[in-house]
Amino acid sequence: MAWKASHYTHLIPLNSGDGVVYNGLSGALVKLSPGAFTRCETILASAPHGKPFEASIESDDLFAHLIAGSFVVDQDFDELAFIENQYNRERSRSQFLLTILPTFGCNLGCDYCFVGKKKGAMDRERQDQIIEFVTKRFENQKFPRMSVDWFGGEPLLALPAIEYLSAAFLDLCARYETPYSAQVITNGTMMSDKAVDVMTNAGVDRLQITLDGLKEIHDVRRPSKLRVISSFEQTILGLGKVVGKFVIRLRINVDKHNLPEAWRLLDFFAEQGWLGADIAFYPYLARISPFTDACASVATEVCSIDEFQETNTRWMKRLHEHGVPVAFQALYQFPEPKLYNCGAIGNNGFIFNPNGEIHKCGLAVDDSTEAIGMLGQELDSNHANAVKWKEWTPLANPVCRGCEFLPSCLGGCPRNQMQMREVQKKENCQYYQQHENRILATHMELAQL
Amino acid sequence: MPTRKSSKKKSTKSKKTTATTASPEVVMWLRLPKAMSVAELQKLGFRGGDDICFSGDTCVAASVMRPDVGIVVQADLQAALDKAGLSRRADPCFGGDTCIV
Repeated sequence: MAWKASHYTHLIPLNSGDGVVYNGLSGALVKLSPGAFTRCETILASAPHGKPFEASIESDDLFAHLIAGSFVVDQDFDELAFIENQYNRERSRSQFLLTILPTFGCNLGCDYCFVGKKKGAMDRERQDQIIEFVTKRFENQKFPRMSVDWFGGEPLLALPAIEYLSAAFLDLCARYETPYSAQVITNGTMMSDKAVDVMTNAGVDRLQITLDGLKEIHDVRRPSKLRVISSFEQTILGLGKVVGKFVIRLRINVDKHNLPEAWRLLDFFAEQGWLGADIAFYPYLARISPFTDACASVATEVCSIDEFQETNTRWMKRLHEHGVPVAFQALYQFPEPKLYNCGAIGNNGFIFNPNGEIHKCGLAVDDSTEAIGMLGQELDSNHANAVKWKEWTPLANPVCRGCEFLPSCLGGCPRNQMQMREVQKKENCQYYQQHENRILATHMELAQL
Repeated sequence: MPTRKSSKKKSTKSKKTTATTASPEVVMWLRLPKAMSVAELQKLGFRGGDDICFSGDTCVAASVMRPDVGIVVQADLQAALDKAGLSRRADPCFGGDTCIV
């Protein structure tokens, strides 16, 4: 058998002199001591651009490891065709992934919020139509798992809807022997004991809560609509009720202005005793970007990818010092091969807004012209809005087809590609080409293997 | 699941290695590309049990789950992530108040 180097094998030198070999398609990861790493470089360089290796090189015992990790592959193996087949197969049998907005209402008025100015909560008739929609899907298809994201507006303003719908979902999943999980994306200000009980009974195991800084920063960027109340203090009170009970992904939205403030927030978390190995409290930085017209005003405030990643690396190291398990965690950008890249292009991903509209992309959930249908009506699979998601593929893009980061990127956000958002597309490429391997090296450093 | 080699075996091998090379080269598997059979692992020098053969000038130094890092060598990544309460970045995510993509 003849062998060639995989197009997706990456050689990453570490500061220690060791090196890492990573394959984006197989996900295999091997650390080599300096001599072995040099030998690996020599082996792979001996057959560049898909040319076959000399047969004699197979006697090197390192070569067996390269085969095992798919760092080298059969000369006849078409990796791109494999990715394409896998992508099409997996999107068609994707998990049942619902995002439900039980209300557009929110008690905060964040200036960068991408959800527009729609109002209103989901009534019981709409909720029953969701149950009917889900029941029909279960009757016709076996899902590997069902996941629900509760989103809004502020979803905890609509606790009865979460309670009512979750009971039905849990019942269906039990009946069809399907694993169920749910997360709530919340501003954390409405975290009453009642809310904790409802979420616990609703199968919620993860919360995403956002802080933008300490009180003086957070209250300005995420002000309560009742101006006399500090949204920061409300959120901290809320966190006190849920830290240790749920996995908390504590999101810190950053731009040029509050990037340095994140460090003060980290010190605050440490003072609260929320950082540690077994607490499941994971603060992470998220770069604000002008995703939609509703938040286009933030465009001039955005920090650069380089600046963000530099801060993020230091952030991970600080968390590690506090005992937070950062190494190899996907939340902290540890590279993973993707099967498909977005819920919107999966056949079984749906978003329901309070008005009964069914959407594919969460970023367009307040835009009725983007809906693919309405609850209570038969879903038309030939609806133009549905077809554009169903037919989109990164493999149509010649740049993506030739890219060595394709398996972990898969073209990035499909919406950015469809709408030809050149800045976002360029930043996505920049992230993978300039930062992914460095991030992997940081994880290796933190793991201290 | 293969594990670290015993210290007894190591001392024998170390003597042999230091006689020929100053620093033996190390191949440390951190993530397998798939669930691999014992036979496949044996081809890489993993023996299973407590005793691993470090043949040639490559050696398998770490081959067990380590609690201080999320995943080292292990076949079922999803199970490890589930245990940690985290999902793969590969999972599609609809974002939240701004999207992580």
